[in-house]
Amino acid sequence: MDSLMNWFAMNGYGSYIWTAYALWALGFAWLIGGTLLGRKRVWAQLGDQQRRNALKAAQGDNEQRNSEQS
Amino acid sequence: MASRFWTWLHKKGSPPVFYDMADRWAPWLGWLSLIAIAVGLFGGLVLAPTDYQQGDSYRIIYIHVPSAWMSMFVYMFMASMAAVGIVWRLKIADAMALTAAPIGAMFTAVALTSGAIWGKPTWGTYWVWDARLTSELILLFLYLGYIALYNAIEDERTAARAAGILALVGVVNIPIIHFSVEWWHSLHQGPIEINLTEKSSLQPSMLWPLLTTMAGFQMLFFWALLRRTQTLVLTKEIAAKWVKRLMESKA
Amino acid sequence: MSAWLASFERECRIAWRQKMDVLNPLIFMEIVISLAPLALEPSPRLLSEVAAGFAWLALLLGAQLTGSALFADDWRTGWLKQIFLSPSPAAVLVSARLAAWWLIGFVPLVLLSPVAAMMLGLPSASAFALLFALLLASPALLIFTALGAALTLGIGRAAALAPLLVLPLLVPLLIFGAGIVRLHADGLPVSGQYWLLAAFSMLSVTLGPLAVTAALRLQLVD
Repeated sequence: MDSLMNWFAMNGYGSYIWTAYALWALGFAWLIGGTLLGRKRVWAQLGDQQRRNALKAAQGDNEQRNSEQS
Repeated sequence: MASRFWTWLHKKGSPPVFYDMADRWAPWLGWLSLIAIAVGLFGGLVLAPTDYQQGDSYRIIYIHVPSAWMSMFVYMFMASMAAVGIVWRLKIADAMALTAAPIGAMFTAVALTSGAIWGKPTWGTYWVWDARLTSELILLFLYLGYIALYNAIEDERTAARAAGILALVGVVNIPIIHFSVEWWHSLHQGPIEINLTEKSSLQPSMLWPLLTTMAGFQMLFFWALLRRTQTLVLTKEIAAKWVKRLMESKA
Repeated sequence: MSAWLASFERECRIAWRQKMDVLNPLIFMEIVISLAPLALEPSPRLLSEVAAGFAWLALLLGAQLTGSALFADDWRTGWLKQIFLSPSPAAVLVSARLAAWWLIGFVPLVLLSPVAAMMLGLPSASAFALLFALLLASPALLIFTALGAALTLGIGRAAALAPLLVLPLLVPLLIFGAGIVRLHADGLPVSGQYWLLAAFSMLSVTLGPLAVTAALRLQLVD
C-alpha cells in the first residue's frame, strides 16, 4: 500500500503528471467514445430505415391486395 | 499501366470496397493500439527509472511526445488526402481528410496542454514563447481554420475542395512557419535551454516505453480514422444499394 | 498581355471609385495606433520599442478589413463567371485584379504605416527599414488575404472567417518583417531578412494567382 502511494506521489511531481494524464485521458475518451457513439448512432439510423422500408413494403402489398379485391 | 492504376485507385476508393477493407483492419488496429499504449504506459510510469536531472516529471514525455508527433503526422496525412481528393476526385479521400482534422486538433491540444504542465516544474512557468510551443499553437489554429471552413460551406464538394486548398497552402507553410519561429526564437535568446525532448539523451529503459506508446497512438489514430470514415460514408450513402445489402448481411 | 493591361486598368478604375474601401483600412490603422499608448502607457521609451511591431499588427489587421471581402462584388456583378468564359486564361485576369488591388489598397496602407509608427516614436532611421520591409512583404500579404477571400466567398458570414484562416499563415511575414526593424535598430545587417521576405513574396506571386483562381472556380460549381 505504501509503495503504491509512494509511486502515486511521483516524488512530488504527482499533481503535474496526473493532471497531464487526466487531460490526455479526456482527449482519448473523446476520440474513442465519439468514434463508437457515432458508429452506434448510424447503425440505429440504418435499422430504423430498414424497418420503415419493410413496413412500407408490407403496407404497399396490403393496399395492392385491397385494390385487387375491390 | 496507367489505366490499371486508375482502375485500382477507383476500386480502392469506392465506398463499399473501402468499407470492407476498413472492417478487416480496424479491429486489429484498435486492440493492438490499446495493448501498445497500456504496455508503454506501464513501462514509462512504473518500470522506467527516475531521471537524475528532472526527477519524475519527465514521465509526461510518454504522452507529450507521441501527441506532438501525431499532431504533425495527422496534418501531413490530412493534406495528402486533400490533394488526392482534389486531383483524382476521390470521395473517400475527402472523407478521410475531413475525419482526420478534429483528431489532429485533439492531438495538438493534448501536446500543448501536456507541454504546458510539464513546463511548470521544469522551467518554472506554464507557457513560454518558445519556438516549438509557438509553432504547435499555430498548427492548432490551422486545424481549427480547416474545420471552420469545411463546416461553413454548405455544398459538400465545394467544402471539401476549398478546405483542401487551405490544407495544401498550410502544408507548404508549415516548414516556413517553423523555420521563421526558430529564427525568431534565436533572435530573442530565450531564457530557457531545452534539451529535454532529445530522444538520444534517453536511456533504453526510458526509450522503449516511448516508442511503444508512439506506435500505439499511431495505430489508434488509424483505427479511429477508419471507423469514423465508415460512419461518415454510411450517413452519406444511406440510400445506396450496397448499404442495404450490408444491413441484410448483418441482420 | 494586352488582356492583362486592359483588365488591370479597369480594375484600377473600379477600385479607385470605391474610395471608402481604400480609406477604411487607413483609418482603422490610425485608430489602432492611437489606441496603443492608451492600452500601454505613454512612456516614450516603451512606445518607441513596440512601435514597429504595432505598425505591423495594425497593417495585418487593416488589410483583412476590406481584403476579406475582396471578391464579394465580383460575385454579385457576374465578373466571376465572365473570367472563366473569357478567351484569356482566368489566372491572368485574376492576377490583374490582384495587382490593381495591391496598387490601390495596399500601397497607401504601406506608405502610411511608417508615419503611424513614427507617431509612436519610431526613430526615422528605422522608419525606412520598416517601409522597405512592408513593401517587400505586401505582395505575399495580398495573395494570402485574397486566398482567404476567395475560399470564403460563397459563405454569407465570410467576413469573420477569412481572417481566421489567413492570419496564422502570415506568421513568417510578421516574424521576419517585424524582426528587420529590431535588427536594424541594433545596427545589425538585415539584407538576409529582406531577401527572405522577397523570396516569400516571389513564391506567393508565382503560385498565388493559380491557387486563388482554383478557389474562385470552386464557387461556380453548382
